[in-house]
Amino acid sequence: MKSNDKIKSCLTENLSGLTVARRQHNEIINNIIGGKPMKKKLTAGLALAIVLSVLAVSAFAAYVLLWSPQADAQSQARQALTDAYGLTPESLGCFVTSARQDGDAWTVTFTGDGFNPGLLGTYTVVISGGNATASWSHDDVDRAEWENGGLMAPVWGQPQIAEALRDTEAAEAAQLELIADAPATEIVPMVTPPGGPESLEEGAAYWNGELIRISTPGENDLTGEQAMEIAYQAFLEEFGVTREELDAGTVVGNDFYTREDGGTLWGISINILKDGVDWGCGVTMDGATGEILMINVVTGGNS
Amino acid sequence: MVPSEVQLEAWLTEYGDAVLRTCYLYLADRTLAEDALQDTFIKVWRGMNGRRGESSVKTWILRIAINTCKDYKRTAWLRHVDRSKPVEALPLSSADTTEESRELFDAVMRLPAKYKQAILLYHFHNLTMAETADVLKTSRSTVQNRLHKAYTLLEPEGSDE
Repeated sequence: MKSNDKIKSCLTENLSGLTVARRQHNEIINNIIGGKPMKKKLTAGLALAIVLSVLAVSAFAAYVLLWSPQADAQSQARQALTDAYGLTPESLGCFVTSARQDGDAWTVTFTGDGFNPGLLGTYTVVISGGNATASWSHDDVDRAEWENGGLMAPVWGQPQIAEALRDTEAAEAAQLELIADAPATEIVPMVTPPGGPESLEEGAAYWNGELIRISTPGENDLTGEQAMEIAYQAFLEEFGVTREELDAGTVVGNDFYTREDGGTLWGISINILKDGVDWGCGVTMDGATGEILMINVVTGGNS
Repeated sequence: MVPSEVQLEAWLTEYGDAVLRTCYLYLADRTLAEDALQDTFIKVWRGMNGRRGESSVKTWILRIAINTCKDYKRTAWLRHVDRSKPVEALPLSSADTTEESRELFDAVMRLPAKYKQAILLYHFHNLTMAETADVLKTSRSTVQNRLHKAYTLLEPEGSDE
């Protein structure tokens, strides 16, 4: 076991460089006490985003959603997992999704990223010729063990995830018991920036390995209100949330970016409470056409 | 009574670094951690007059910081956006940092969030077991279990110390 001193000195050594600079200190105090909107480096101001959300509701207009091939493949894959394993959007929020195209076929992978990822395993859906074939890394486990089991089941399928999201104390106790026998935990890496992250300037980020920069919409781009309405519709269609749940939620991201190729993006995230579980709904769309490029939900943050 | 503005500034001076480091450890991203620092102190400002004083100021602020980070982690859009800086890129890390210390730090960074929180609060912020439980809104026995699990995960394979 690592000694307490070793852990403490390691944290002290490696975090000593992180301090609040005088300039930053003054900025925070002046902004809070002066009531100015806070300038964030990566995500746009929350206050502005909330205003946009309210505007979006009052300016409701129906949009026909456009789905990129990747977003469409992910949507088909989610449906395939619902059909094959009973997984709901809420449970799939405990997985990180990635999609890979190979010719006309798509392979969509859902890697466990909540609770003990080893218990959740990895689901893979191959979409080809109009058919979607789903598999799970725990397919070798007798299906009855998880379909009829509680949190002490050897692997966690839909029943266990649904229970764990609502009873986090019981879920934690079960994980501690199961930990010795659980399959190895998988670490889900972030997308690795090709140029290395250390050279990023303020307001820049990598999205799917592509450099993007915070910007403001031009005249050919969707307005914040339009993008928000498309996001609402996408969440309603894809995850079965309600407009009331979205209205009651918190907009935590409403950001416009320029892309390396000259295109633009809107990235919108809304945190909501649904059936007693915290959800983070996120969508990335083309900044001009509103085509859905990626859509996901995160519920694993509850753990 | 100390005016709120003066109190806020004093708390930012006293706990700002602790909050920033907590947020960094949780989010593994300096830019996000700085945003979370701002959000934490906005919430501190809004909540300071209604604070009931059942816990210390430090544990109260750290709890706000951790809840703010949890909100960030749940932000779906950020799942696909990466500004993570390797720890080597952090400025002014101690010049005496050894390879062993860096490896251990990397291992701490890879811990699941709940184990990382327990390590951070208990070992780095020197909170007691009860204060750590208070910040994490859980029981002392759960904190003990999480620490024990964290130690196990930090142990290199094959070590039987």
